[in-house]
Amino acid sequence: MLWTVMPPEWVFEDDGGPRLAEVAAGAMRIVLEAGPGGAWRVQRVLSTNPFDYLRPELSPGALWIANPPSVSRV
Amino acid sequence: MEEKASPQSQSSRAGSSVSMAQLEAIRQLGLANPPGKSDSAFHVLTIIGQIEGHLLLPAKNKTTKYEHVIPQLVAVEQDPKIRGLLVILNTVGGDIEAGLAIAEMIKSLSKPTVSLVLGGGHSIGAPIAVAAGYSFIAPTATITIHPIRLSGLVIGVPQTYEYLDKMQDRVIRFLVEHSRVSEEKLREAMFRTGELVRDVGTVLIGRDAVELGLIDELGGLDKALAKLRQMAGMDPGGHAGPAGEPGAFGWRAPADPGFVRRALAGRNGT
Repeated sequence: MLWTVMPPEWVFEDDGGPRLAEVAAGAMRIVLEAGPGGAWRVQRVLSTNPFDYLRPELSPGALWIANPPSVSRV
Repeated sequence: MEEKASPQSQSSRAGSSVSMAQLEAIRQLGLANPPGKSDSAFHVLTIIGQIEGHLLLPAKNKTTKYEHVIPQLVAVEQDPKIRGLLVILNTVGGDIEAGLAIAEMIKSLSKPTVSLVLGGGHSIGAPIAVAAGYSFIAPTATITIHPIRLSGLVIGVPQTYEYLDKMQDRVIRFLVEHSRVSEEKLREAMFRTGELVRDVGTVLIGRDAVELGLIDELGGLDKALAKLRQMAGMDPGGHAGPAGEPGAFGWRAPADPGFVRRALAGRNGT
């Protein structure tokens, strides 16, 4: 049951959205967004450690250079 | 829907200046540097967008997922290096059960917790905000308090209303038990007409939420961190903890108070 200020038709409207994948990196998880040419870019870091957000390789939009995710949407 | 980056593009991006240790970290973790040990005394949990529970929402929604947050809270509770948790909210609400679950987890953490509502902490965001040991709201942030609605197929029988009423009571009870707001005042705000365009309820802006008793204090990051330091038994005034102890976000105070003065004097050659 949803209790939100967003109208349900906005919440459930599916316009495709970005293609996302989630990868584990040590203690944290990172959400990647698929870009053109099979590239993946960092979209979001899931960690409670504030220092993880200062890492330049995890800044939003940074190119994910290894371990391309094999999973699709999260 | 599987896709992999081509090997050529990967190797060209990695470059030739990468050391063997870095390559190993990249191979194992996908990171240029392995996750280092952290001195951060306080961890931060952000509650953003829709709170997602049993239902996977369309990808355009920015969501806070139950399955991410709950294990993070367990880890925060168990890591002896972590002295407290700052919960930062900017949420439009979402799944009641997932929201209440997160709120109950924050409430039952044995470590100091402080919440800060920035932007919005609407609907089910409110119980999460009050679940912390102490709550702050930014002067411009808002909390919308409104009745729970049913969406989709609704069967027009009295039981439907009773079920809705029970769900409503769960939330009201949690809010009343974990803040200074009285049930009477909260219900009055929740069912007020004339404030919201598409709904009944009330928009509480910054100070209103404090005056109603829902949130403890008006403030921002500085006050929230000072409170967390105080609750954790650290010096609430400065940026550091007690001498030699890791302060908030890892800043260490010099053990000797004269250290800075002498260091500056030495640099100036005096």
